[in-house]
Amino acid sequence: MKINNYLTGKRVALLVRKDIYMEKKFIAIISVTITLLIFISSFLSATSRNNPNFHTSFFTFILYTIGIAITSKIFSDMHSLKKNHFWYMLPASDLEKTISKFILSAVIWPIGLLILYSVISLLTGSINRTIFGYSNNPILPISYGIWIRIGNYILIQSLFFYGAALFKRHQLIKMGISILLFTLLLFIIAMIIFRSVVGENPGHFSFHQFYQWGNSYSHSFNMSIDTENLRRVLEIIKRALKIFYLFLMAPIFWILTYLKVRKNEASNGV
Amino acid sequence: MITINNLYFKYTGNWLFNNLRLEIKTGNIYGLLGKNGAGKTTLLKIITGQLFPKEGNCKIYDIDSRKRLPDILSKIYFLPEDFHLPDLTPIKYSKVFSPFYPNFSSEDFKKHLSDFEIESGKSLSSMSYGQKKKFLIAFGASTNCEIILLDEPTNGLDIPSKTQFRRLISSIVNNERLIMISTHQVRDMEQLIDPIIIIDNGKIILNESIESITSKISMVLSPEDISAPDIIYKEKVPGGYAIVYEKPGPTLNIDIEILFNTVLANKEKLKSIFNGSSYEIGAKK
Repeated sequence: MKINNYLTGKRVALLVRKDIYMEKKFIAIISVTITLLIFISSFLSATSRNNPNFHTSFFTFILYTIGIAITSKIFSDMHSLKKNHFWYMLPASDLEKTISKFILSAVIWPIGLLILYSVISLLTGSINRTIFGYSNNPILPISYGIWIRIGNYILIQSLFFYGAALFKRHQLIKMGISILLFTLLLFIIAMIIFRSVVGENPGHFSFHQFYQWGNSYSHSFNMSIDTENLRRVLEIIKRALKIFYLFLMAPIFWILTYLKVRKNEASNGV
Repeated sequence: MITINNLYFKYTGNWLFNNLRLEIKTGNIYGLLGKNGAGKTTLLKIITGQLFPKEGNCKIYDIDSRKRLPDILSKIYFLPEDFHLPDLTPIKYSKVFSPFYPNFSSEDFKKHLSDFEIESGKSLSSMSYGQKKKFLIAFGASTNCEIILLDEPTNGLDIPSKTQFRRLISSIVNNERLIMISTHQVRDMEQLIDPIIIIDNGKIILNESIESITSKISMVLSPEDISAPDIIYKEKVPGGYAIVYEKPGPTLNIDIEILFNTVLANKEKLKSIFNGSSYEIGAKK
């Protein structure tokens, strides 16, 4: 029988199932911890009565912090000298192995958390109402705002997903530093470009002026370059960055992750 | 089935494999022998696509092992020397991992577990190293893979388990299957492995069947030291001297440990005896 060598839903499902079985203790510990955190923080928040949308903020906080920490370790069985034998020898393609890790960290985690959080927030809400006569708004799985937050998580998670495949150890710290350095580099390049654009009028422009212009460029600043054109350029850059963030960044990093997984080798040697 | 063509590999510095060529066919239990660091485990990892050659290639059924295709991986079972097993029972483990192997037999698995006296309800992570290894051997045999690669399979096994291992391996070999055993425990493998591949400094220095070896050399145990022009190697052993002659002898009289020492001590002589047919001629890089 000819086997599909690239992608089958069945093998991806088997890989996901395998990881859930293998990590069942970790999943149980993290679920209990999150439940306790929600219970404690929701009681504390109910006593202060000053933040009815507490659950939305706390859900976002847990989604990002724990989600990114989990994502950073998602390829640990590929990097581990003890475990990588089974990673390489399992009869599934590198693409399927990458997709299964994506499903775990970018689909099962946020949806699992959303379900758990919704149930716990409803439960704590009724308890708080009984005890304190007040409760925060519970998390509603159908809320548009929640799904926007999950969507943003999936986009940002793609960076750490790549970091998890790229770095063998300390993936979260290394990827965090990489993002910071890259942002700094972008800022320096932007400054150089901006400087070169206004370079013809060096006597009329300084960093201080740039800062002022950034705050209120539309009306109050008067300099000899064409502010209308600059505004248009900035608008284009903003749109381009938005398009990159919404439609390009995550697919690029998913592809880079797959390529990294495909060329990865066991490195423990003889 | 497995063809290695002009393969070059190194970790850092010197080449471990330098123009390595090897062909491995079904229907045999190959013994892969060599000193520590000779490249046995590396060779097995290259065959299974865990490591990539720097140049040349390793093909399984004419497909480059670097591709790690599911079709090929589902035909290979590789037991490593060091491993980590999850906190699952043997039954749960088989439920999770066996669907990846289309020819996996649950009946065989239960039988092998029982033969090795492995408790099917006990967590794998709480088992001893030897028990874990027996479990992996039982699972590997049940996958009915066409290629079974075993790295030091008898390390950590007690004496009854070694006997059971030999019985199991003998029972699963057939014309469609290839088994390769990399080991230092050559006494455990006598009467089991044939042909024998000896690897030294990243080169194949012997790749011959027992029949071919005994058609060229013979071994005898002499109570006293002898000198003769056709003696190519001798070694003091309990009860006298193991003498290796350059002349045909009975097939059953091959002591693999003596053969290994003979080959390592007389690389050039053995090369001329076997006409270089089994030897790897490495072009310097």
